[in-house]
Amino acid sequence: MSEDPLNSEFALQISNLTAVRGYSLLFSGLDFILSSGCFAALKGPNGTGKTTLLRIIAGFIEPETGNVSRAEEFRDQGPFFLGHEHGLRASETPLSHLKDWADMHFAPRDRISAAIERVGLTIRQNVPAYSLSAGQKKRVALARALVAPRKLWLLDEPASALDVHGQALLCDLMREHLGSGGSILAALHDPLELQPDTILDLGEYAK
Amino acid sequence: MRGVLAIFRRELVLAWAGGSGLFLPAAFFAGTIFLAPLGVGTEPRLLSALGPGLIFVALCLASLTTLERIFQADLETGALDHQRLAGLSMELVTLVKVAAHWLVSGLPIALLTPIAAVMMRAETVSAATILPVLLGSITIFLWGGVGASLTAGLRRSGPLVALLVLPLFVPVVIFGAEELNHLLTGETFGAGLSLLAANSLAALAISPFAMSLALKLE
Repeated sequence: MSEDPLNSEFALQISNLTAVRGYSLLFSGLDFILSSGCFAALKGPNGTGKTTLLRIIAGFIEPETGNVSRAEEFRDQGPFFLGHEHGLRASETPLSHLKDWADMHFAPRDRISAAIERVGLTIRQNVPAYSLSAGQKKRVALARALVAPRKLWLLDEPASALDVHGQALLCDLMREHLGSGGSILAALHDPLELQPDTILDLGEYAK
Repeated sequence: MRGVLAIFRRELVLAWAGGSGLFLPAAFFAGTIFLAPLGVGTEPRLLSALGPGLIFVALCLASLTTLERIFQADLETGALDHQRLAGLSMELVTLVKVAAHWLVSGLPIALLTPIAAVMMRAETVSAATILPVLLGSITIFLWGGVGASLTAGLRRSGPLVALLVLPLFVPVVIFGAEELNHLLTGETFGAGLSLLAANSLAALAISPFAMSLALKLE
C-alpha cells in the first residue's frame, strides 16, 4: 500500500480481509478504502457477510486474516453503530435511554431534547420501549448519533422499519454527517434517496 | 467514571421498572426458610442445628432464580455492543451490572437473615448475623455473574448456570455456615469470617475479567 494509514484523507482502510462464519468462508481478499466525507454502500446477496464485515470493522469480531485500520481522528472514538438490534430494553424510554447514552459517551445532555425533536419523538419521549413501534425504536437509535456525534457511521440496513418520512430523515441526517466530514458505510438492499459515492459489492469477494 | 455510573443507574432503574423479578430471590429465600420447620418439625434443638447451613443453602439457591438475567437482555438487544463501542471497560461494566443486581437481589437476603435465624430458633440473634451472609452473597453473586456471562447467549440457561456455578459456591457454604453457627450460638467472630472475606475478594479480583472475556466470545 502506498497510502499512509495515518493520512486523514481516508477514514477507513481494509486490507486483505477474510471472514468466516462457522465453517464457511464468507469473503476473502477484501481490500477497500473509505475516504472521509464519503458514503459507501455495502451490497451483496443475503449471507455474504455484510453484517459480519460491519461487526469486524466495529471491533466485535476478529477477522481470519487481514486488518482494518482507521485514520487517527477516527480512532480515538468508537464508530456509531446502527445494527439490527435496537439496543433498547423493554422498560427504557427514549428520554431515559438518551440520557444514559449521553453519560455513557461523556457527551453533554443538552443536545437530547433537540435530538428527540429532530427524530419526531417529542410526544413519545416518556413511553417505554415495549409500547414503541419498530420504526420508533429505529428513530431512537438515530437520535443517538445526534446526542454523541461520531465520525464513522456503520449502518446495517438503516432504512428497515422506517416509513417514508423516517427514510427522508435518515437521508437528511446522513447528508449532514457527510457535510461535516464524517464517513458512512451502510449495508443496503434497497437504494436510498441519497446516492452513495462508492459501492462495495461483497458478492464479488465470495468464494 | 460518569459512563460507568450511568450504567449502574440504568441497571437499578431497569430492575425497578422490571417489577416482578425484583424481590424474587428474597421471596424465594424467605419461602425456603419458612418451609423448613414444616418439613423437619419444630424441635428447637434440631432447627437451631440446621439453621446456619439451611440459610446458606437457601441463599445459594435463591441467587440462582434470577442470575441468568444479568446479561441476557443487554446481549439480546445489542446494548452490550454499544457499551463496548462507547469505550467503557467491559470489566467495569460487568462488575457494575453484578453490583446493581446484588443490590436489589442479594442485599435484601442478607437483611432478612436475622429474621430467618429467629425462625430457625437461634439462641442469640444480633445485627452481626447479617455479616457472614452479606460477605457470602457478594461471592455468590460474583461467581454467579461469571456463570451468567458464559450462558448469556443461550435460551433458558437457568439450569445450566446453576450447574456451572454451584461448585464455586462450596467454600461459601462451608465457611459461611460455620461462621453463622458461631454467631448464632453466642460466640464472637471466628476465622470463618476472614475466610469468607478472602473468598469474596478473590471473586472480586477474578470474576470481572472472566465475565468480560466470556461476553466478548458470545
